[in-house]
Amino acid sequence: MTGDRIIEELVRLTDSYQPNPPPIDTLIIDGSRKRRRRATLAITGVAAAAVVIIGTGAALTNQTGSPHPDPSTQGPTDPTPQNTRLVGVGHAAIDVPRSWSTNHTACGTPTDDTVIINVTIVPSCAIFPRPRVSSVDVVFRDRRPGYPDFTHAETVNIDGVDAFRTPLDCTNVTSRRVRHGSDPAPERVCTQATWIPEESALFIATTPQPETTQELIDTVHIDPSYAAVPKSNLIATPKEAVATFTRNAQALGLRVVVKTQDQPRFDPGSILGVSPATGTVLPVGSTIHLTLAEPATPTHRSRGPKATPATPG
Amino acid sequence: MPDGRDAEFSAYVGRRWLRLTRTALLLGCAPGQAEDVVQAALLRCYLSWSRVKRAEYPDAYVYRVLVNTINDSRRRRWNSEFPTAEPGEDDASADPTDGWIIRREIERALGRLAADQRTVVVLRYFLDLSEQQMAGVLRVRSGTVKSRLSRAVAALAEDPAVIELGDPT
Repeated sequence: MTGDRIIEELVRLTDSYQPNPPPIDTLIIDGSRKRRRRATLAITGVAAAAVVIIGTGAALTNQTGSPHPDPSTQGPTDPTPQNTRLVGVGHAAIDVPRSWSTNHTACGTPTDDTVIINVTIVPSCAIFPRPRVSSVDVVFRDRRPGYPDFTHAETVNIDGVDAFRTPLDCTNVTSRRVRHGSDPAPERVCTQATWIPEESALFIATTPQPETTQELIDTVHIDPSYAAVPKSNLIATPKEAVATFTRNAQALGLRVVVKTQDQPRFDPGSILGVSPATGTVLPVGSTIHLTLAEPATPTHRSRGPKATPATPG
Repeated sequence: MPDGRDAEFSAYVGRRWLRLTRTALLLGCAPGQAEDVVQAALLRCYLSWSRVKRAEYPDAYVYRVLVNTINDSRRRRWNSEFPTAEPGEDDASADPTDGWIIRREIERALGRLAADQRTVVVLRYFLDLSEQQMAGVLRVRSGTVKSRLSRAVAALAEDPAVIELGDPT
């Protein structure tokens, strides 16, 4: 069917449709009322959530990404792709604001508008209440997730692939101003998730606004011409970790080039770094640089990084 | 007297109301529902009117809000996704044969597309958006828009109803 024919038929389909006149006065009255209400809330509004670290446990340091971004905006953001970046798993990706940091968490709780990518080790402490920030969790998940609850998830089709999407879940979380002891006021946290089994990709959006949460989840898509840098296995032996990473990357159509660095504090051959970072979405055919601690060969110690193409294990 | 913002917004709604409601119809809303979702979308735009004005393509910004509003309405299970009336039902008496049949079959073929494919067909062929504009509306890469559109057109071309209609000579 040609494009011209499609245009012709679409126009014909709607030609006979004549809606009622636009309700301009109603829109302006309702809109003005909502604007005044928002202005009132901003002036008298809830206290900023205080961060309280309670409990004990290993003070594992989470990676912190880019510096503190601008606060999350209310309502629709500029739709131009230049203001967003893609993060993902496999060939699946989600759009997040470019200003968001990566893995900006404390005790596993986001403390800034941030993308949380494959943070699987969470220290046994807690932040209460959750700060009023937005976050997207990007997780490699090849079996049904335990969180969020996918019991009532609907089956959706994303770019021809079956996926599961949870209902939007908004709950009130009580905030408390610790220092001055003011009355607790409810804050809202809205969560929605999409799991794509075929890509082993789980995306969880959590924001204070239901519309913002849904807008984020709506950007999840699958594009076989792009692939996300895979995660590295923190538990496997160095040799297994490198082999698995290389195999996974090559299966996605990404090239892996290995560099070594003289780092005697690390086990020889262990992964020191991945560039670009895990979760970064790249065109298929792009190159990932894997930096390993140099093997223990005292007679042939190198003075700097050297690169070799990786071979799968 | 309405201030400048209200006057601008009113003028915009006056110009775009028909196009937006017809777009909502093509995206699968029933005729009555189309006006409701467009009104809801325009209310959101009113609240962020300064962002609409600053956008590189204000229309594309509004279309994006409309698409999101329709998705929201489906989640809340408003009326059925597909028109409750057969297309051109009122026209059956005026054009009981070929024209009405063609419109009905095209409507059904469109309805058989996946939601995201239907959306790109409407954005491209009814609203005449470029790939870049569509990418902005849907917040995906241009390449994704391109492949989605290609699959949608291929699906339409292979739809039995469309094949039976044949191409006009």
